[in-house]
Amino acid sequence: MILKLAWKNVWRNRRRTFITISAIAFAVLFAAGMRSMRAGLEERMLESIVKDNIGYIQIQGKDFWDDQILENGFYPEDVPVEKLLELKEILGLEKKLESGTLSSTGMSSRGTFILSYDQSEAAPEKIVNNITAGNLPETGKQEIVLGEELASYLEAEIGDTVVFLGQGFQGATAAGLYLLSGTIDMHIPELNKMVAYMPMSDLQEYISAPNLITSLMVEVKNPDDVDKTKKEIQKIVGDDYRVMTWSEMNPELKQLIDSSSAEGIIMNIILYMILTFVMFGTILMATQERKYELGVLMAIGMKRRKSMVMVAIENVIISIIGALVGIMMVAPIAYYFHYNPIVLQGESAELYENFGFDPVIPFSINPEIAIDHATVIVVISMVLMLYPFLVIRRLKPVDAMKL
Amino acid sequence: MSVIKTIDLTKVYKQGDYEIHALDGVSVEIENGEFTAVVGPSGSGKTTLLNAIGGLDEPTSGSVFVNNEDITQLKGNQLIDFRMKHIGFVFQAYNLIPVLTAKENVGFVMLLQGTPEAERDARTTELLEAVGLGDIMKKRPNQMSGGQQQRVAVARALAPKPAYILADEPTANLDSKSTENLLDIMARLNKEEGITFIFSTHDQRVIDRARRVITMEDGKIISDERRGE
Repeated sequence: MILKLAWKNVWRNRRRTFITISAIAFAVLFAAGMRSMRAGLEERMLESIVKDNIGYIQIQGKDFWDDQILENGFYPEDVPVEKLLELKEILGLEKKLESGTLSSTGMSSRGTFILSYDQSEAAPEKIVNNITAGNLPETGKQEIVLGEELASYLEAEIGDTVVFLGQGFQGATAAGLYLLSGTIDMHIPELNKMVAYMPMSDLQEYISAPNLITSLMVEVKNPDDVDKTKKEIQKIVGDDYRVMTWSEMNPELKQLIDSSSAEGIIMNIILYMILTFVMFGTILMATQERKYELGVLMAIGMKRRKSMVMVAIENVIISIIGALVGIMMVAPIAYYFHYNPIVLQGESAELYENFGFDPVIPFSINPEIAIDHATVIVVISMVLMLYPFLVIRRLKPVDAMKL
Repeated sequence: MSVIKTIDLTKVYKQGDYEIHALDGVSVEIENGEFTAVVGPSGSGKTTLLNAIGGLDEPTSGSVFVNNEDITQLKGNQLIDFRMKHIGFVFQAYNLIPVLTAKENVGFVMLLQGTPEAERDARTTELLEAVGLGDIMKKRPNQMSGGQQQRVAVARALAPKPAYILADEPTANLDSKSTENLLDIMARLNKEEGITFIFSTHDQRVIDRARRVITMEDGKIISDERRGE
């Protein structure tokens, strides 16, 4: 009956209930929506820069990070790969070989960063999906793909020949003619201006270093747990190798994400404070309006504790409905902008490109975001229950019924 | 043997520098089965006396004995339990729970007492039929007339089988027909079930039906008249 009474009370003053539900729903919408946008941006940064390029963790030769020359590379057969794969946190390892060179066509040339992929494995999705024209290079056929902007700068069309000239392993000259088989969009404007992709064995041949790699990229199960995983890897590979996390390799990105998160937290605190006042106003009004009735209930034999339970149930019902409505409102928006990201124009776009990111803002569809914000709001409403509890605790039926 | 006994009951309200003596040394005994009206002008202390007897208000000094128990010594939940077990209240403004039906209003106190559903159901039906409202059990207060609401309030007050009922100006908002109807019901319950009724009232129609009339003025009892049947 208390539950039934609470449910009926919720709908007695429909206007007030709808105002409260709306306030909660819009708070969830704004808080979760904003967080979803920031999280989407962070996810995109992590995906395009970390997951697809440097990896969450890298195993490198011990001096490679400080002096990134081929001589500080290593051979994968020297690393206890099987032992590493036994670690639960590791999903896989990807060999990486990178080298710098000069690329040229006709009268144009530019410093180029050559990336490679292990042709013995299936070509990584991140490369296949990012090909914008042409095809992946075929192994052993002296083919390459270039970043869209680099190809455009070199005025190279698919099928044209590009000259590579640079330094190979241990002082050898690296030189070769490569056929442009396709172009790629790395979703990082700076990289598009300077990147070339080729199969790893072709790059090893180009630099005259068969089997050499510069790092092993570790695919981890839980990106939030990289520090712990790093320690375990370091124990296995020993001191001849250096294990680095993405935040050590790219501290600027880490700082950017942290400051974005901090900004988000401050915004949310402000939003929650406003919501707290709105909710408190409603609870205050409702409690004052119902003092008379609570006095009557007490007069006819309802104990204070039961009155508190009734009022708490009413508040929980309203909060949960508000939170659910908020989640239902934010979900389609997040889904829409996840698959149709906001494309920035003008100065904002330039700003993003200067930071090395695509000028788009995708939304995250991680359900935890909406659930977390809804939970916070339900908790706030629980805390606000202290006010009616205090009123009920001090309520004297005869005084309440004099109102 | 008296059911209710107040001894030198006082209630003082402070209003700024002034003290208002709502009750000023009231001593009264009310016996089992009485049908008593407490009358007097506004501010004479009628409602304050009823509230003190019902444990709704704490007197400044003095004692209220109900079945030989001094209820002024009871605190918090003890007092709520006492009211629930022994007293039925009928208020001037009916004070039904607006979101509950007539039947749910009547059954509410029994629910608080933990009465099993079947028993509760039977008793609420019986009581609503007794007050002539068997046909509007599922109506909510806003769908009833004032007279009907007050009869539901009486049924609610009777639901936990209290020894006595305190009714504060129960007919103040009722028309003549509803007043007569309500008084008939109360008189019948008093006679047939021996329930003690104490009214505070200005209403001559109620005063005429009472078998005892206590008149108050300035917080004091100035006359106490017993009448025959």
